[in-house]
Amino acid sequence: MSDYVLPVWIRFLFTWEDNLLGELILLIYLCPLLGVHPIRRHPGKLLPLFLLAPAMAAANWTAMYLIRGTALVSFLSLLSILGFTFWAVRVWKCTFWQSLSAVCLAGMLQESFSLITARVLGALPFIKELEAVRPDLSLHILWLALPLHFALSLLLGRLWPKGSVLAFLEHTASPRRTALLLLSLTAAFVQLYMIQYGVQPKYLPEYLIVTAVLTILTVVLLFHLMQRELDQRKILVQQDLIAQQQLYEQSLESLRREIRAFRHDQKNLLTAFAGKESGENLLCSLQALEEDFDRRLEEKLHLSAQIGNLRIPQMRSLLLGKLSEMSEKGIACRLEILYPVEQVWMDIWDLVRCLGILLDNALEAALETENPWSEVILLQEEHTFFLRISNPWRGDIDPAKLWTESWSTKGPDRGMGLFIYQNILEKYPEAVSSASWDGHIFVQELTTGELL
Amino acid sequence: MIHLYLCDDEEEVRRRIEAALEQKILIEDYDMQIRCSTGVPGRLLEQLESDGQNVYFLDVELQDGQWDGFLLGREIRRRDPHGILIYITGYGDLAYRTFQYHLEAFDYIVKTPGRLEASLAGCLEALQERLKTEQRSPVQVYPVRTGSALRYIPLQDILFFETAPRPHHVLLHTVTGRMDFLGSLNEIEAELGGRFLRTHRAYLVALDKIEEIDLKKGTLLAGGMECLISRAARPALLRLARQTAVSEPFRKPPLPFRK
Repeated sequence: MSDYVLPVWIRFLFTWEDNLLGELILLIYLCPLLGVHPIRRHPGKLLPLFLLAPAMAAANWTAMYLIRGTALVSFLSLLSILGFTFWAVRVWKCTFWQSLSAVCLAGMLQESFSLITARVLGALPFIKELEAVRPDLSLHILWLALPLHFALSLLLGRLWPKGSVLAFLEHTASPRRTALLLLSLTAAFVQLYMIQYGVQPKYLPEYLIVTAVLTILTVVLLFHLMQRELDQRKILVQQDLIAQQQLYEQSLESLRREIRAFRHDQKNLLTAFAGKESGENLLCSLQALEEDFDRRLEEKLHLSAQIGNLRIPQMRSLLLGKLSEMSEKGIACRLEILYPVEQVWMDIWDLVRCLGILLDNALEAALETENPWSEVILLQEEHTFFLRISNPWRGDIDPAKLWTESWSTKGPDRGMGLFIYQNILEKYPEAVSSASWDGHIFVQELTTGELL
Repeated sequence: MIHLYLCDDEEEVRRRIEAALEQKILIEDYDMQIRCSTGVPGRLLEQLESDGQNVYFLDVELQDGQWDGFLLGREIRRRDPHGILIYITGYGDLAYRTFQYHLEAFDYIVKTPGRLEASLAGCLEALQERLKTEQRSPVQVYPVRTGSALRYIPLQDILFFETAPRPHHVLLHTVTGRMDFLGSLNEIEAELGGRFLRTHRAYLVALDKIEEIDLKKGTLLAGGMECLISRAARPALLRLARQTAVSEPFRKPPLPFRK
């Protein structure tokens, strides 16, 4: 290659290609972290990535002239991480820090694994020969490593419980701190990548092994940390739920006792009255009063019986909270749980999130109408769990658009719910969800279980 | 002949229901007959024959070992998917919606003293009306089963089927809803035949719902939603376009919500 100098534009194209390859590999590692769904839906979203490559190439070249020879050059790849982050924010609809964390993690994997695969490829005999004959091909040969990266990424996707990274990023106490920590880790790996050019050939295998071990250790450690944080959070929430539950049960029990006593007294009083007085009118009106009271009591007891049928504390707590929020806001609620619900054929926390999203949507939509109401039905059968939430709505938006991710009328938070909901369901191959908007009633249904 | 089945474990109430039904049938000369009246769910199931149109009057508060109103209804649904379920309940306020949605119960009748007969008569009238309209213009339906629930979607409401991102899932789009169920487009296509066109590997579209075709983009609009067109489906679509034979067949005004 030193014999002749390639034209400038060809060399520029090479830089471009180099960047493009790097970005593709990063994307390959990013997908299992964030979920491949949005890309599969809209492949057009990949387009900005391809534009990022020439931009990065140009930045590279400019930087070469400006800060040639300084260590700063090695940090240029952090620039592409930044570009990637902005792109991921748009595609996955997450916050900047979440996206930065995920991209950094993927970038770290990209740096170390492409270093290792490139060296391994270079060591293969036939590629060695090819490179000796056509040194200008050495860059293109790197494309051969792509399937290898793909396989590695698939493996990682398998090993990490799906969605755990995203869940961690959603729940983490300080997303900024997490992101910055991961960024510095990635910067360290970038440096490790640059070191390869200074390593003496005889130490290369050791260098590669150290890199591989470091990478794997980092990944395992990070994953362990994520799992721990998630678990801790769950325990905290659970304790909170139990406390709430006890409070509720106590109040319900006292209410029940009071009512029973009251009814007893009232009946005695009535009989006494009936014996003495001939005032039948009085008796009738008292009876009517009692009937009305009975009916209302029946309704109350009905609700408590329904709630009592829900045997999953997390769901019970959420439902109670949402129902009381609804009645505070003047929404008439109706709950129907005919049979005990003990199993939902889903991770309970996932189901709680789904239920929360659907109830929030129902609440918001119902509040926009004149006579807000909401109806929740849960039904567990032998092999399935069924959930139905209905509410009135104004009918001024096209429901068909609800599921497209770009949809929103009131800021970015609205409409996101259904998108997250769909994302959660992705994990459960046998969960089916339906929606209908007949007239001015909006209905959401979800069935999970062994449907086949 | 429409057969009526009746199951209520309160002897006296059942007699009254029976009498009320028979009287109404006699007066109006309906083509109906009570085939079975019992207080024991097991006996009803024994006598059940799903050869014609059946109507079942079931007590919600039924208590008989393994059976209650819901479970009996579900079992009847399983054996006779086209049967019509009518529930009778002592508590009007507590009429269970689960029955309505999960079993597609046709009506609720409340055992209010003095009003029971009138409600039953009204219910029979509504029933007769519905059966008549169904006879006059039978509605073709597509059955969708999720778990134990079976829904019938009128074919005329269906816009298109679409393969969902998850494997084996199909999305059914209607004007007023969107259903997710387990199935395959190939099977549905074979089942439904001519009325629907496979415009793309992932889309099965109702021909009469196509509003706009954009061959350049490779998409079409059905009910305002975009579906894809594959190369293979183009000839069929062009033929369809020629059949509809309007001078400018594919330039309907854009729908209002498209910005």
